[in-house]
Amino acid sequence: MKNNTKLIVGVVVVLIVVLGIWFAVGRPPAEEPAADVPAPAPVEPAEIFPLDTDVVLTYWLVLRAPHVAANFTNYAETPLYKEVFERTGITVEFQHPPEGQATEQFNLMVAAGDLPDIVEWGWATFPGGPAKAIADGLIRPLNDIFESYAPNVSALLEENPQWARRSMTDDGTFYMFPFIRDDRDGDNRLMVSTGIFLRYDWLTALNLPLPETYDDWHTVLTAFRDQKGATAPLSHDAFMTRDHFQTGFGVNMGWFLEGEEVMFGPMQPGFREWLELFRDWYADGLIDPEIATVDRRALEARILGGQTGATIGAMVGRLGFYTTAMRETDPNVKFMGTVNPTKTRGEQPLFGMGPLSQGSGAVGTGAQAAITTNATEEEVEIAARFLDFNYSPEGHILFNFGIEGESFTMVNGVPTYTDMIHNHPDGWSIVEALSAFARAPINGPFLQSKEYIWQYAYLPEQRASWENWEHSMGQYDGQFRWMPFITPTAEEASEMAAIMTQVNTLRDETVLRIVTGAAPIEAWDTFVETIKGMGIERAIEIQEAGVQRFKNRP
Amino acid sequence: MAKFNAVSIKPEKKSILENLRSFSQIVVKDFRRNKYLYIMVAPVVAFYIIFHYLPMYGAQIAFRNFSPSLGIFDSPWVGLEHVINFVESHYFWRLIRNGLLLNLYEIIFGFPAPIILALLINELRNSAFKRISQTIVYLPHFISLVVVAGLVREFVSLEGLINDILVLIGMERTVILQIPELFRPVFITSLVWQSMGWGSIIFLAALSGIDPQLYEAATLDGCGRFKKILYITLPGIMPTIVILLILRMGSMFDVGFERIILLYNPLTFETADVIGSFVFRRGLLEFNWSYSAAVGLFNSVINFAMILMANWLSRRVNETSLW
Repeated sequence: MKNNTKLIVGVVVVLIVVLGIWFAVGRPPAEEPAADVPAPAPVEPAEIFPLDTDVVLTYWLVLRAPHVAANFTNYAETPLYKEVFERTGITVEFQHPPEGQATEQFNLMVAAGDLPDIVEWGWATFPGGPAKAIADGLIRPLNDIFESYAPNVSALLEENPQWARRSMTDDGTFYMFPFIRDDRDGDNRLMVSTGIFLRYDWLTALNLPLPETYDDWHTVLTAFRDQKGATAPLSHDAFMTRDHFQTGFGVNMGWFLEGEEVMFGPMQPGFREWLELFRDWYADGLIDPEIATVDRRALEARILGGQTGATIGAMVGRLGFYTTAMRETDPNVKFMGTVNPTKTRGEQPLFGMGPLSQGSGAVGTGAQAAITTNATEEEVEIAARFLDFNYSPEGHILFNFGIEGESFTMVNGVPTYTDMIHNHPDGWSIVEALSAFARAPINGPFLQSKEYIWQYAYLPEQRASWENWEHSMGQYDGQFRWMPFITPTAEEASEMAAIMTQVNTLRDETVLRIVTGAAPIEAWDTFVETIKGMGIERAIEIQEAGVQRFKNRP
Repeated sequence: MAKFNAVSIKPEKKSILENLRSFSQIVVKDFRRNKYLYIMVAPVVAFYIIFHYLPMYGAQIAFRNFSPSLGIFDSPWVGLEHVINFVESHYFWRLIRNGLLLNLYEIIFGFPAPIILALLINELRNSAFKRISQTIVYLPHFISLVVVAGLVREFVSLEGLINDILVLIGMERTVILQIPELFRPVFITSLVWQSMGWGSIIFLAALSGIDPQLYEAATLDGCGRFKKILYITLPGIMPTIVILLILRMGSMFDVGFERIILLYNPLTFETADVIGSFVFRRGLLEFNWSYSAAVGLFNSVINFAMILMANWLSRRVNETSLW
């Protein structure tokens, strides 16, 4: 009895203390609203660097692995940024998330509101849209800042309104220093980097041409299976994100445009045709039996082990990598890219791989640099000038080619990588060597140069693959069917997330169940009915509203 | 400890005022008598207040539309909108069912495993062998989840060890991770493998608290090893087992969703998708702190109810309980 009383007394005392502290601490003061950006200062003349400043900026970005991370632990140690610091006179303290934890770190940083002055991230695809990032008080609107402190990027965006429209939210607010793939003069060489490719040496041995139609593919994959002993003739990872085999049926895995209307690919009749085709191929052993679980590493093992002869992937990171790795033991190995298949020969797929497969165009992919609300007014100016340097003629050369005399020399007026990049004395790969001097092979806040790509993707078959992929880039009947780069409002984003998490769950389940034969094709009909109940029509409305607003952008 | 907790107190009827007065007298008297104990316990109490109770004010964002720029207290109230949004989801019942079933299987197969292991280790006589095997069974606990999932995927892949064994005994190769019915066994097995050794530590500690004289007496009475385990060892660690089981009930709705997203794929959503993984996928589409807070709170409330129930049940059945 006595012991119990003591226990109760103890508990009550604790409670009283807790409540006391609660009331004593009370409500924390509301955060001060962000100060207004001052009136724009007059535009500076071009020659302002090196700046004389004591400000040390903080700059968060991912140290790409293996590109940079293989040899450096901080970007400030690279020859590239040493040179940038010297030329701009600005010192920056880089912060890098641990390898493989970038997303977690970013999420934590955002949730805590604890952002450094500059954060480089895929702001264009920020969950809920960049407008939400501004409304949530994470990053600053940049219109005034561009005008006052960033003459180079301003000039570029002014001359190229197609880039400007993709660097802003619907109401015309610039929010980032964009990563721009130079697509001027209709040149697509930086725009197409991924596609279907297959073992060309096998094709040659089997006396088969590059497949163009679905029937061709059936022949090729069957031959791979029967005559080359491939146990997973066609395989690729991230199965639910690849559209390359569907565009011939006029559909994709997500959204596309049909005139003014927004369509959800998996609901269209063409999608059912694709499902039937893939179901048959899977049953025939033409598709990887482990298609739902194969990841990058497993795929690599299959390709290098000769179990897989056809896959989908990037020109350098996959095609180039596999080629180099396999030629060490077999110099005859050759991969070649081919067009997206169609039902009849010579037909143009309704939409091809599209620029960068998602139709986001020259701006919108990769990492973009945003200035956060945590930067003081003084830091904002220095940060803007620091980032704007990248877009100046001098910065453009530096970020794409590095330092003259070290990583490149001028040959006939074209910056050309030196032998040190191609055959690094310490045995670094071209990816690692170039990434120490330039950001062209990665991405970031600068304008990517057209001159870099064929020096980097230097295998002849890489260029040939690119030509095949570019051929099926698809402006069928003169219409561009990929969605433009739309940004939802905060309310729309919330509603979309609620609907699409369910729809995507059911889509992924249904597609894989049908393909692997776990469900009959009729499951697709049920799927279409069910997602109507989940609110897909409302999601389509939201997408259409976004497209309208994109069209009305300033 | 367990015994006196089980004694229930029946306070005499007094008026509230009287109660308060006598209560404050007791507090003052108790404080005077035990002031060093109070001082000693103060840091611990402060720790819980600062790191466990004060942060709870943040839970209110579950009922607001939280925006970092407005802060917790100025974000607009939306009431139960986020909870309703979750409950009305097409997959709500499937997520609940999967979470509960995974937990149930984990309790059935995963809970006894460390106890059995501890009993086995306890019976080992060669102390060098005992120490080595203990270390070996602890080790998996320290391996990162990502690596463990990688190992599992390797073992169950089409050309992996498990399939090789299946072929040896005359069965067909199957893509184990693509079959919904097999997800739970794979998940539970990997979980048990990883946590069994670590979990046995607490039972080994409890085992060492049993009076050796009991064993001697039992030997004299002619008990074999198995009988000793049954009549001395198990009853000796029963309070520990019950307490841990009650605590385990408090996380009936929690599943380590990290392990799940490393092992599942759309083909096994049917049995593998749980609240955590669903919210994770939604987070890829939209940063919504309030929604995840609401789901988290929903989870906690149910867990809290479960632990209350388990405690009540245990007190009824065998007089051992948390409070």
